[in-house]
Amino acid sequence: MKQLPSKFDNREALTALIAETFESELIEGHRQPSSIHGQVLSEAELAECIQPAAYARTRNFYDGAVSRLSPFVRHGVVNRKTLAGIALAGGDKPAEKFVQELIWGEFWQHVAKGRPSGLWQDAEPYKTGFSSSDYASELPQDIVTGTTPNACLNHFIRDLHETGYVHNHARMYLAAYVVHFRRIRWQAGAAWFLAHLLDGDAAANNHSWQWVASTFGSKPYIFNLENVAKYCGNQVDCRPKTNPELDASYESLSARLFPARTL
Amino acid sequence: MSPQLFWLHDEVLSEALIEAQGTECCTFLFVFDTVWLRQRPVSLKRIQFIYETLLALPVAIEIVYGDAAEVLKQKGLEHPGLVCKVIAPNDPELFERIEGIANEAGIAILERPRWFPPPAIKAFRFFKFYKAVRGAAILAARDRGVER
Repeated sequence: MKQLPSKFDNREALTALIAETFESELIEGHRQPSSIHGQVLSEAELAECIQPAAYARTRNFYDGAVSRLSPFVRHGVVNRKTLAGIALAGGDKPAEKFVQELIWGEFWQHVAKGRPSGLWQDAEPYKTGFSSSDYASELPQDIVTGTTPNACLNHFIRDLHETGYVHNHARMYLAAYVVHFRRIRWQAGAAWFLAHLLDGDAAANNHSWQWVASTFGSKPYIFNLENVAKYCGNQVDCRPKTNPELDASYESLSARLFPARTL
Repeated sequence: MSPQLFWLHDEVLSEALIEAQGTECCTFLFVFDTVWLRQRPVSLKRIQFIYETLLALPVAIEIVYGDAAEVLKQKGLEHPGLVCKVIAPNDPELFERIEGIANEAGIAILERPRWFPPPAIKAFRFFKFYKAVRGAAILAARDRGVER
Protein backbone atom coordinates (compact mmCIF):
# COMPACT_ATOMS: atom_id res chain seq x y z
CA MET A 1 0.00 0.00 0.00
CA LYS A 2 1.39 3.39 -0.92
CA GLN A 3 0.18 6.92 -0.23
CA LEU A 4 0.26 8.93 -3.46
CA PRO A 5 1.02 12.65 -3.69
CA SER A 6 -1.56 15.30 -4.46
CA LYS A 7 0.81 17.99 -5.73
CA PHE A 8 2.95 17.85 -8.86
CA ASP A 9 5.20 20.43 -10.49
CA ASN A 10 3.78 19.65 -13.90
CA ARG A 11 1.83 17.09 -15.90
CA GLU A 12 4.95 15.20 -16.92
CA ALA A 13 5.77 14.55 -13.24
CA LEU A 14 2.36 12.96 -12.74
CA THR A 15 2.82 10.81 -15.85
CA ALA A 16 6.22 9.65 -14.60
CA LEU A 17 4.80 8.73 -11.20
CA ILE A 18 1.99 6.72 -12.77
CA ALA A 19 4.35 4.89 -15.14
CA GLU A 20 6.57 3.91 -12.22
CA THR A 21 3.91 3.10 -9.60
CA PHE A 22 1.51 1.22 -11.85
CA GLU A 23 4.14 -0.68 -13.83
CA SER A 24 2.63 -4.10 -13.01
CA GLU A 25 -0.98 -3.10 -13.65
CA LEU A 26 -0.76 -1.04 -16.85
CA ILE A 27 -1.23 -2.66 -20.23
CA GLU A 28 1.93 -3.04 -22.28
CA GLY A 29 3.27 -0.02 -24.14
CA HIS A 30 1.18 3.15 -24.30
CA ARG A 31 2.92 5.21 -21.63
CA GLN A 32 1.75 8.61 -22.90
CA PRO A 33 -1.12 10.59 -21.36
CA SER A 34 -4.08 11.73 -23.41
CA SER A 35 -4.45 15.27 -24.67
CA ILE A 36 -7.77 15.16 -22.81
CA HIS A 37 -7.13 16.28 -19.24
CA GLY A 38 -9.03 15.04 -16.21
CA GLN A 39 -10.76 18.08 -14.72
CA VAL A 40 -13.90 19.42 -13.15
CA LEU A 41 -16.03 21.47 -15.54
CA SER A 42 -18.30 24.34 -14.53
CA GLU A 43 -21.89 24.43 -15.72
CA ALA A 44 -20.94 27.18 -18.19
CA GLU A 45 -18.13 25.03 -19.58
CA LEU A 46 -20.49 22.07 -19.90
CA ALA A 47 -23.04 24.22 -21.71
CA GLU A 48 -20.36 25.31 -24.19
CA CYS A 49 -19.80 21.66 -25.12
CA ILE A 50 -23.47 20.95 -25.80
CA GLN A 51 -25.04 22.08 -29.08
CA PRO A 52 -28.22 20.01 -29.28
CA ALA A 53 -29.46 21.20 -32.69
CA ALA A 54 -26.09 20.80 -34.38
CA TYR A 55 -25.67 17.47 -32.61
CA ALA A 56 -28.93 16.20 -34.08
CA ARG A 57 -27.79 17.15 -37.61
CA THR A 58 -24.14 16.17 -37.55
CA ARG A 59 -23.48 13.61 -34.80
CA ASN A 60 -22.66 10.79 -37.23
CA PHE A 61 -19.89 12.79 -38.90
CA TYR A 62 -16.32 12.41 -37.66
CA ASP A 63 -16.14 16.18 -37.15
CA GLY A 64 -19.77 16.51 -36.03
CA ALA A 65 -20.93 18.57 -33.05
CA VAL A 66 -20.63 15.87 -30.40
CA SER A 67 -20.03 17.02 -26.82
CA ARG A 68 -16.98 14.81 -26.05
CA LEU A 69 -18.12 14.83 -22.43
CA SER A 70 -18.39 11.04 -22.19
CA PRO A 71 -15.16 10.59 -20.14
CA PHE A 72 -16.58 12.97 -17.54
CA VAL A 73 -19.91 11.15 -17.42
CA ARG A 74 -18.15 7.79 -17.18
CA HIS A 75 -16.25 8.88 -14.09
CA GLY A 76 -19.14 10.59 -12.35
CA VAL A 77 -17.69 14.09 -12.73
CA VAL A 78 -21.03 15.10 -14.19
CA ASN A 79 -24.20 13.07 -14.51
CA ARG A 80 -26.43 12.52 -17.54
CA LYS A 81 -29.40 14.20 -15.88
CA THR A 82 -27.46 17.46 -15.59
CA LEU A 83 -26.41 17.31 -19.25
CA ALA A 84 -30.00 16.59 -20.30
CA GLY A 85 -31.16 19.56 -18.24
CA ILE A 86 -28.63 21.85 -19.95
CA ALA A 87 -29.71 20.59 -23.38
CA LEU A 88 -33.42 20.93 -22.61
CA ALA A 89 -32.95 24.55 -21.52
CA GLY A 90 -32.84 25.38 -25.25
CA GLY A 91 -36.16 23.66 -25.94
CA ASP A 92 -37.42 20.08 -26.09
CA LYS A 93 -37.39 19.62 -29.85
CA PRO A 94 -33.74 20.45 -30.58
CA ALA A 95 -32.65 18.49 -27.49
CA GLU A 96 -34.50 15.28 -28.44
CA LYS A 97 -31.60 13.41 -30.11
CA PHE A 98 -29.04 14.50 -27.53
CA VAL A 99 -31.27 13.42 -24.65
CA GLN A 100 -32.02 10.15 -26.43
CA GLU A 101 -28.31 9.47 -26.67
CA LEU A 102 -27.93 10.10 -22.91
CA ILE A 103 -30.76 7.67 -22.27
CA TRP A 104 -28.85 5.06 -24.31
CA GLY A 105 -26.21 5.20 -21.55
CA GLU A 106 -28.85 4.54 -18.90
CA PHE A 107 -30.27 1.73 -21.05
CA TRP A 108 -26.94 -0.10 -21.14
CA GLN A 109 -26.67 0.13 -17.35
CA HIS A 110 -30.22 -1.24 -17.11
CA VAL A 111 -29.33 -4.18 -19.37
CA ALA A 112 -26.11 -4.92 -17.47
CA LYS A 113 -27.95 -4.92 -14.16
CA GLY A 114 -30.67 -7.21 -15.48
CA ARG A 115 -28.25 -9.54 -17.24
CA PRO A 116 -24.77 -9.21 -15.71
CA SER A 117 -23.48 -12.31 -17.51
CA GLY A 118 -23.96 -10.39 -20.79
CA LEU A 119 -20.89 -8.30 -20.01
CA TRP A 120 -18.56 -11.01 -21.29
CA GLN A 121 -20.77 -13.82 -22.57
CA ASP A 122 -22.67 -13.89 -25.85
CA ALA A 123 -26.22 -12.79 -25.07
CA GLU A 124 -27.49 -14.70 -28.12
CA PRO A 125 -25.90 -16.80 -30.90
CA TYR A 126 -24.18 -14.99 -33.79
CA LYS A 127 -26.46 -14.36 -36.78
CA THR A 128 -23.57 -14.51 -39.21
CA GLY A 129 -23.71 -18.16 -40.21
CA PHE A 130 -20.77 -18.85 -37.89
CA SER A 131 -20.70 -20.10 -34.33
CA SER A 132 -18.62 -18.47 -31.59
CA SER A 133 -15.97 -21.19 -31.88
CA ASP A 134 -15.28 -20.00 -35.45
CA TYR A 135 -13.94 -16.69 -34.09
CA ALA A 136 -10.36 -16.21 -32.88
CA SER A 137 -9.89 -15.15 -29.29
CA GLU A 138 -6.90 -12.78 -29.67
CA LEU A 139 -6.46 -9.56 -31.58
CA PRO A 140 -3.87 -9.88 -34.36
CA GLN A 141 -0.75 -7.76 -34.17
CA ASP A 142 -1.64 -5.44 -37.07
CA ILE A 143 -4.79 -4.33 -35.26
CA VAL A 144 -3.01 -3.82 -31.95
CA THR A 145 -0.32 -1.75 -33.66
CA GLY A 146 -2.64 0.13 -36.00
CA THR A 147 -1.00 -1.27 -39.13
CA THR A 148 -3.93 -2.97 -40.83
CA PRO A 149 -4.11 -2.78 -44.66
CA ASN A 150 -6.68 0.04 -44.30
CA ALA A 151 -5.56 3.62 -43.70
CA CYS A 152 -8.86 4.85 -42.30
CA LEU A 153 -8.97 2.14 -39.65
CA ASN A 154 -5.34 2.81 -38.70
CA HIS A 155 -6.34 6.45 -38.21
CA PHE A 156 -9.12 5.44 -35.79
CA ILE A 157 -6.77 3.07 -33.94
CA ARG A 158 -4.33 5.98 -33.51
CA ASP A 159 -7.18 8.02 -32.03
CA LEU A 160 -7.86 5.22 -29.58
CA HIS A 161 -4.25 4.71 -28.55
CA GLU A 162 -3.16 8.34 -28.46
CA THR A 163 -6.20 10.16 -27.06
CA GLY A 164 -8.45 7.49 -25.55
CA TYR A 165 -11.33 9.00 -27.49
CA VAL A 166 -12.86 7.61 -30.68
CA HIS A 167 -15.91 8.99 -32.46
CA ASN A 168 -18.90 6.68 -32.04
CA HIS A 169 -19.21 5.93 -35.75
CA ALA A 170 -15.51 5.04 -35.91
CA ARG A 171 -15.99 2.71 -32.93
CA MET A 172 -18.63 0.85 -34.93
CA TYR A 173 -16.33 0.62 -37.97
CA LEU A 174 -13.50 -0.77 -35.85
CA ALA A 175 -15.78 -3.24 -34.06
CA ALA A 176 -17.27 -4.48 -37.35
CA TYR A 177 -13.81 -4.82 -38.86
CA VAL A 178 -12.48 -6.82 -35.90
CA VAL A 179 -15.46 -9.15 -35.61
CA HIS A 180 -16.64 -9.58 -39.20
CA PHE A 181 -13.73 -8.77 -41.51
CA ARG A 182 -11.15 -10.52 -39.31
CA ARG A 183 -13.48 -12.97 -37.52
CA ILE A 184 -12.28 -12.29 -33.98
CA ARG A 185 -14.50 -12.72 -30.92
CA TRP A 186 -16.09 -9.46 -29.82
CA GLN A 187 -14.75 -10.00 -26.30
CA ALA A 188 -11.17 -9.40 -27.46
CA GLY A 189 -12.13 -6.12 -29.07
CA ALA A 190 -14.27 -5.03 -26.13
CA ALA A 191 -11.37 -5.57 -23.70
CA TRP A 192 -9.05 -3.62 -26.03
CA PHE A 193 -11.45 -0.65 -26.12
CA LEU A 194 -12.06 -0.78 -22.35
CA ALA A 195 -8.37 -0.56 -21.64
CA HIS A 196 -7.93 2.57 -23.76
CA LEU A 197 -11.16 4.55 -23.95
CA LEU A 198 -11.35 7.29 -21.34
CA ASP A 199 -15.10 6.75 -21.31
CA GLY A 200 -14.71 2.97 -21.31
CA ASP A 201 -17.68 1.58 -19.46
CA ALA A 202 -18.28 -2.16 -19.60
CA ALA A 203 -22.06 -1.98 -19.97
CA ALA A 204 -22.14 0.40 -22.95
CA ASN A 205 -18.91 -0.81 -24.52
CA ASN A 206 -19.48 -4.55 -24.33
CA HIS A 207 -23.12 -4.48 -25.30
CA SER A 208 -22.32 -2.23 -28.26
CA TRP A 209 -19.70 -4.75 -29.38
CA GLN A 210 -22.32 -7.47 -28.99
CA TRP A 211 -24.76 -5.43 -31.08
CA VAL A 212 -22.20 -5.07 -33.89
CA ALA A 213 -21.35 -8.78 -33.61
CA SER A 214 -25.06 -9.73 -33.77
CA THR A 215 -25.03 -11.52 -30.42
CA PHE A 216 -27.25 -8.73 -29.02
CA GLY A 217 -29.21 -7.83 -32.11
CA SER A 218 -30.94 -9.33 -35.10
CA LYS A 219 -28.17 -9.01 -37.71
CA PRO A 220 -24.46 -8.20 -37.99
CA TYR A 221 -23.45 -4.56 -38.53
CA ILE A 222 -21.09 -4.01 -41.43
CA PHE A 223 -19.84 -0.96 -43.34
CA ASN A 224 -17.96 -0.20 -46.52
CA LEU A 225 -15.50 2.42 -47.66
CA GLU A 226 -18.21 4.53 -49.27
CA ASN A 227 -19.87 4.90 -45.87
CA VAL A 228 -16.60 5.84 -44.14
CA ALA A 229 -15.89 8.38 -46.88
CA LYS A 230 -19.33 9.93 -46.47
CA TYR A 231 -18.93 10.50 -42.73
CA CYS A 232 -15.17 10.85 -42.30
CA GLY A 233 -13.81 11.62 -45.77
CA ASN A 234 -12.77 15.20 -45.14
CA GLN A 235 -10.60 14.20 -42.14
CA VAL A 236 -9.43 10.68 -42.83
CA ASP A 237 -7.70 8.93 -45.75
CA CYS A 238 -10.54 7.12 -47.52
CA ARG A 239 -8.90 6.43 -50.89
CA PRO A 240 -9.69 2.99 -52.35
CA LYS A 241 -6.03 2.16 -52.93
CA THR A 242 -5.16 2.72 -49.25
CA ASN A 243 -8.24 0.88 -47.95
CA PRO A 244 -8.34 -2.24 -50.12
CA GLU A 245 -10.36 -4.51 -47.80
CA LEU A 246 -13.23 -2.04 -47.47
CA ASP A 247 -13.76 -0.91 -51.05
CA ALA A 248 -16.78 -3.00 -52.03
CA SER A 249 -20.56 -2.88 -52.20
CA TYR A 250 -22.66 -4.11 -49.28
CA GLU A 251 -23.88 -7.02 -51.38
CA SER A 252 -20.42 -8.29 -52.21
CA LEU A 253 -19.19 -7.69 -48.65
CA SER A 254 -22.12 -9.65 -47.22
CA ALA A 255 -21.42 -12.52 -49.60
CA ARG A 256 -17.70 -12.42 -48.75
CA LEU A 257 -18.03 -12.05 -44.97
CA PHE A 258 -21.06 -14.25 -44.32
CA PRO A 259 -21.08 -16.96 -47.00
CA ALA A 260 -23.12 -19.33 -44.87
CA ARG A 261 -25.63 -16.82 -43.55
CA THR A 262 -29.25 -17.57 -44.37
CA LEU A 263 -31.48 -14.51 -44.62
CA MET B 1 -20.66 12.97 15.63
CA SER B 2 -18.56 10.02 14.41
CA PRO B 3 -15.97 10.83 11.78
CA GLN B 4 -17.06 9.80 8.32
CA LEU B 5 -15.05 8.55 5.39
CA PHE B 6 -16.35 8.51 1.83
CA TRP B 7 -14.64 5.91 -0.31
CA LEU B 8 -14.63 7.16 -3.88
CA HIS B 9 -14.29 4.86 -6.84
CA ASP B 10 -13.82 5.64 -10.52
CA GLU B 11 -17.55 5.84 -11.37
CA VAL B 12 -18.37 8.52 -8.80
CA LEU B 13 -15.54 11.02 -8.55
CA SER B 14 -17.86 13.97 -7.91
CA GLU B 15 -21.05 12.23 -6.86
CA ALA B 16 -19.69 11.26 -3.43
CA LEU B 17 -18.98 14.93 -2.76
CA ILE B 18 -22.60 15.81 -3.46
CA GLU B 19 -23.75 12.97 -1.24
CA ALA B 20 -21.49 14.23 1.55
CA GLN B 21 -22.64 17.84 1.38
CA GLY B 22 -23.50 19.13 4.86
CA THR B 23 -21.79 16.20 6.59
CA GLU B 24 -19.36 17.27 9.31
CA CYS B 25 -16.04 15.52 9.99
CA CYS B 26 -16.01 14.01 6.53
CA THR B 27 -12.91 12.90 4.65
CA PHE B 28 -12.50 11.34 1.21
CA LEU B 29 -10.41 8.43 0.06
CA PHE B 30 -9.68 7.10 -3.42
CA VAL B 31 -7.84 3.81 -3.81
CA PHE B 32 -6.25 2.78 -7.07
CA ASP B 33 -7.18 -0.82 -6.34
CA THR B 34 -4.45 -3.12 -7.63
CA VAL B 35 -6.74 -6.16 -7.47
CA TRP B 36 -9.37 -4.47 -9.63
CA LEU B 37 -6.75 -3.07 -12.02
CA ARG B 38 -5.41 -6.58 -12.58
CA GLN B 39 -8.92 -7.77 -13.37
CA ARG B 40 -9.55 -4.83 -15.72
CA PRO B 41 -6.19 -3.66 -17.05
CA VAL B 42 -6.10 -0.09 -18.36
CA SER B 43 -3.72 2.23 -20.15
CA LEU B 44 -1.77 5.03 -18.51
CA LYS B 45 -4.17 7.50 -20.14
CA ARG B 46 -7.07 6.25 -18.08
CA ILE B 47 -5.16 6.32 -14.77
CA GLN B 48 -3.92 9.83 -15.55
CA PHE B 49 -7.41 11.07 -16.40
CA ILE B 50 -8.75 9.80 -13.05
CA TYR B 51 -5.76 11.13 -11.12
CA GLU B 52 -6.03 14.59 -12.69
CA THR B 53 -9.73 14.71 -11.90
CA LEU B 54 -9.05 13.79 -8.27
CA LEU B 55 -6.54 16.64 -8.03
CA ALA B 56 -9.08 19.07 -9.51
CA LEU B 57 -11.91 18.25 -7.09
CA PRO B 58 -12.77 21.07 -4.66
CA VAL B 59 -11.94 19.00 -1.55
CA ALA B 60 -8.80 17.19 -0.47
CA ILE B 61 -8.79 13.51 -1.42
CA GLU B 62 -6.43 10.99 0.11
CA ILE B 63 -5.08 8.96 -2.81
CA VAL B 64 -3.71 5.49 -2.17
CA TYR B 65 -2.27 2.74 -4.38
CA GLY B 66 -2.82 -0.80 -3.12
CA ASP B 67 -5.29 -3.59 -2.43
CA ALA B 68 -8.50 -1.71 -1.54
CA ALA B 69 -9.55 -4.41 0.92
CA GLU B 70 -6.34 -3.98 2.89
CA VAL B 71 -6.50 -0.18 2.74
CA LEU B 72 -10.07 -0.04 4.02
CA LYS B 73 -9.47 -2.58 6.79
CA GLN B 74 -6.43 -0.58 7.89
CA LYS B 75 -8.52 2.61 8.02
CA GLY B 76 -10.99 0.89 10.34
CA LEU B 77 -8.20 -0.25 12.66
CA GLU B 78 -6.56 3.18 12.75
CA HIS B 79 -9.81 5.03 13.46
CA PRO B 80 -12.19 3.04 15.66
CA GLY B 81 -15.74 4.35 15.27
CA LEU B 82 -15.07 5.58 11.74
CA VAL B 83 -18.22 5.45 9.61
CA CYS B 84 -17.26 4.52 6.07
CA LYS B 85 -19.56 4.86 3.06
CA VAL B 86 -19.31 4.08 -0.63
CA ILE B 87 -21.75 4.68 -3.47
CA ALA B 88 -22.77 1.55 -5.36
CA PRO B 89 -21.14 1.36 -8.80
CA ASN B 90 -23.13 0.44 -11.89
CA ASP B 91 -20.58 -2.04 -13.23
CA PRO B 92 -21.72 -5.44 -11.91
CA GLU B 93 -18.16 -6.76 -11.59
CA LEU B 94 -16.93 -3.66 -9.75
CA PHE B 95 -20.01 -3.90 -7.54
CA GLU B 96 -19.05 -7.45 -6.65
CA ARG B 97 -15.56 -6.33 -5.71
CA ILE B 98 -16.80 -3.39 -3.64
CA GLU B 99 -19.55 -5.41 -1.97
CA GLY B 100 -17.00 -8.03 -0.88
CA ILE B 101 -14.79 -5.37 0.71
CA ALA B 102 -17.75 -3.57 2.26
CA ASN B 103 -18.98 -6.75 3.93
CA GLU B 104 -15.54 -7.49 5.29
CA ALA B 105 -14.72 -3.98 6.47
CA GLY B 106 -18.19 -2.90 7.65
CA ILE B 107 -18.71 -0.25 4.98
CA ALA B 108 -22.19 1.06 4.14
CA ILE B 109 -23.08 0.87 0.43
CA LEU B 110 -25.29 3.78 -0.61
CA GLU B 111 -27.63 3.49 -3.55
CA ARG B 112 -26.51 5.57 -6.50
CA PRO B 113 -28.84 8.51 -7.19
CA ARG B 114 -30.92 7.79 -10.27
CA TRP B 115 -31.90 10.11 -13.11
CA PHE B 116 -35.30 8.41 -13.41
CA PRO B 117 -36.92 5.26 -12.02
CA PRO B 118 -36.31 2.08 -14.01
CA PRO B 119 -39.17 0.98 -16.27
CA ALA B 120 -41.77 -1.28 -14.71
CA ILE B 121 -41.59 -3.57 -17.73
CA LYS B 122 -38.70 -5.81 -18.80
CA ALA B 123 -37.05 -3.79 -21.55
CA PHE B 124 -33.90 -5.21 -23.16
CA ARG B 125 -34.50 -3.42 -26.47
CA PHE B 126 -33.69 0.28 -26.53
CA PHE B 127 -36.81 1.78 -28.06
CA LYS B 128 -39.07 -0.13 -25.68
CA PHE B 129 -36.98 1.19 -22.79
CA TYR B 130 -36.91 4.71 -24.24
CA LYS B 131 -40.66 4.83 -24.69
CA ALA B 132 -41.16 3.71 -21.11
CA VAL B 133 -38.79 6.24 -19.48
CA ARG B 134 -38.68 9.28 -21.79
CA GLY B 135 -41.35 11.32 -20.01
CA ALA B 136 -39.92 10.76 -16.53
CA ALA B 137 -36.38 11.44 -17.79
CA ILE B 138 -37.29 14.80 -19.31
CA LEU B 139 -39.31 15.85 -16.30
CA ALA B 140 -36.50 14.98 -13.90
CA ALA B 141 -33.87 16.72 -16.05
CA ARG B 142 -35.91 19.93 -16.16
CA ASP B 143 -36.31 19.85 -12.37
CA ARG B 144 -32.72 18.96 -11.65
CA GLY B 145 -31.92 22.09 -9.54
CA VAL B 146 -28.26 22.65 -8.84
CA GLU B 147 -26.35 19.42 -8.99
CA ARG B 148 -23.54 17.82 -10.94
